[in-house]
Amino acid sequence: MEVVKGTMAAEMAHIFLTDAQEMLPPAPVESADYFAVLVARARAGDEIAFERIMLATEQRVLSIAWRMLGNRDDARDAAQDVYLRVFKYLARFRAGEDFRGWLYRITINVCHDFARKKGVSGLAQFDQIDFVQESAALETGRRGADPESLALHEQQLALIRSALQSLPPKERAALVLRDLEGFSTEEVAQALGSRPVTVRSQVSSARAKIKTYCDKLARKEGAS
Amino acid sequence: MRTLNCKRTARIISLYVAGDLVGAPEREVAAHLAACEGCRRLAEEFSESSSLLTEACARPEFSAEFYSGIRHAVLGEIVSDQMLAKPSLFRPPWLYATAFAAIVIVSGVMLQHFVSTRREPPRDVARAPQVTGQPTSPLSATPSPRKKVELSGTQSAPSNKMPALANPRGSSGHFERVREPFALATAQAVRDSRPQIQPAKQSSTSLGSVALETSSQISRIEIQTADPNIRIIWLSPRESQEPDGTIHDQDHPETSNRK
Repeated sequence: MEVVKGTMAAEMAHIFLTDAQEMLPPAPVESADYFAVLVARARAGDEIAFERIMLATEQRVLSIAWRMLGNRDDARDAAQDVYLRVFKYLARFRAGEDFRGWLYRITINVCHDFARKKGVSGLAQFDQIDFVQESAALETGRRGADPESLALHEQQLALIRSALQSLPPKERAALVLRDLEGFSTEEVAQALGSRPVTVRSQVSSARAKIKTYCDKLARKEGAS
Repeated sequence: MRTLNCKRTARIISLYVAGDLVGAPEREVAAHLAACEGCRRLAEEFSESSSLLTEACARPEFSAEFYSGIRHAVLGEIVSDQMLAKPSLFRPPWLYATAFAAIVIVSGVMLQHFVSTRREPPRDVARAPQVTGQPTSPLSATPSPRKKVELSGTQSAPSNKMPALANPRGSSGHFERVREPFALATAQAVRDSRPQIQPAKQSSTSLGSVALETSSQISRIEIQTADPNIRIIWLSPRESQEPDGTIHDQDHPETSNRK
C-alpha cells in the first residue's frame, strides 16, 4: 500500500513538474524582489512558485551541502531535507527578510545535523567518485605534467579536503561560505546568524588551520 | 599611519590576502609587507593554501538528472504528505461545526422526550377510569335535578381532593374521573341502608360513556358536573328478579331507587 502511494505521489510530482516546466517562463535574474514574489505565491499554496524557488537556488544549495558534507549522496539528501524544511517553515518566513540568507541558514543547519548524525569519521573522507572526477579534470588540464607529480598533487588536494572536514562546524561553515562560495562577510554573517566581526575571526582561524595543514603536507613532501 | 609589528600582521594577514581589510588596516598591512620579507612570505603561503583549498573543493558538475531527481523527490514528498495529512488534519471546519450542531440537536430532542415522558402521570385504567366523550344517553346528558346529590359530611371530603376537572365546554353531560374510595364509601352506605337489595350479577349499563363502579350488590354511576362541588351519584341495584318471575331493569333511572 505504501509502495503504491509513493508511486502515485511520484507520478503526480512528475506530471506536475512537466506541466510546470512547460508553463513557467525562463528564470529571470535572481533578485530580492523576484524571490519575494515567489515566496509570497508559494506561501499562498502555489507549488509552481515553490518549484521555481528550487530551480533558482538548487545549485547553490547543493554546492554548499557538498562542500560541507563531502560527498554526493549526503549532499543530495541534505538538499532534499533543506527544501522540505523550507516548505514546512515557509509560513514563518518574515516578509522583507532576505530569502536567500534564510535559505542558506537552513542549509547550514541541515548540514550540521547531518554531520552530527554521521559523526566525525563519516566526514573525514570525500567521496571517491568526486575525487576521481576531480582527478580526471585536473589531468585534462595538466596533460604535460609528470604523472607522479599529478598523483602527488591529487593526494594533497584530498588531504586538504579532509582538513576542511576536520574544522569545527562554525569555522567550516564560515570558510565554505566566504572563500568557496564567494559570499561577502556580511552575507556570511546573515546566513550564520552572527556578526561580521565573528565571521572574520572564524574565517581567519580556519584559514590559519588550513595553511598549517598545508605546511605539514609540504614538509612531508619535502622530506620524502 | 601606525606601524604594525610582525605578530600583529600575522594575525590579520589572512584577511588581507582574502581582501577582507579595507581602509587604514589594509594600508598598514601593505606598508608592513613592503618592508618585511618574512611577512611577505607568510602572505604568499596563505595565498597558496587558499588556492589549494579552492582547487580541492571545486564544485563538481552535477547532471540535470541529479537536480531534477532532487526536485521530484521533494515535490513527491510534499504531495504525499498533503495527501496523507488532509484526511486527518485538514478537514474543513464547517464539517466539525455541522457535526457538533447535529449532536446538540439530537441530544436536545432526546432530552425533551425524556422529560415529557417522566412528567406524564401514570395511568391506571382499572383503578381510575377516565371516560371522555359525549354520553350516548339523553338521560345522562341532561340529568334531572333529582339526580343531583349534595354531598355532605365525610362524603364531601374526598371531593376536595379531586383533581381539577377539565371541562372546557362547561357542560354537565361530561363525565369525569371516578374516585374509587369515594365510590366504595357511597356504596357501603347504600348497602347499609338497603340490605334487602340483592347483589347484582355484573355491572351493566346502557350508558357507554358513563363511569361505572361495581360493588358486589349495586351498580354505581358517578357524574361530575361542571361545578366541582356537585357530583351526581347514581346507585342502583343490579337486575333483580321479582317473586313473580319478571325481571325489572333496575338501572333505568326512572325505575331505580335513587338517593
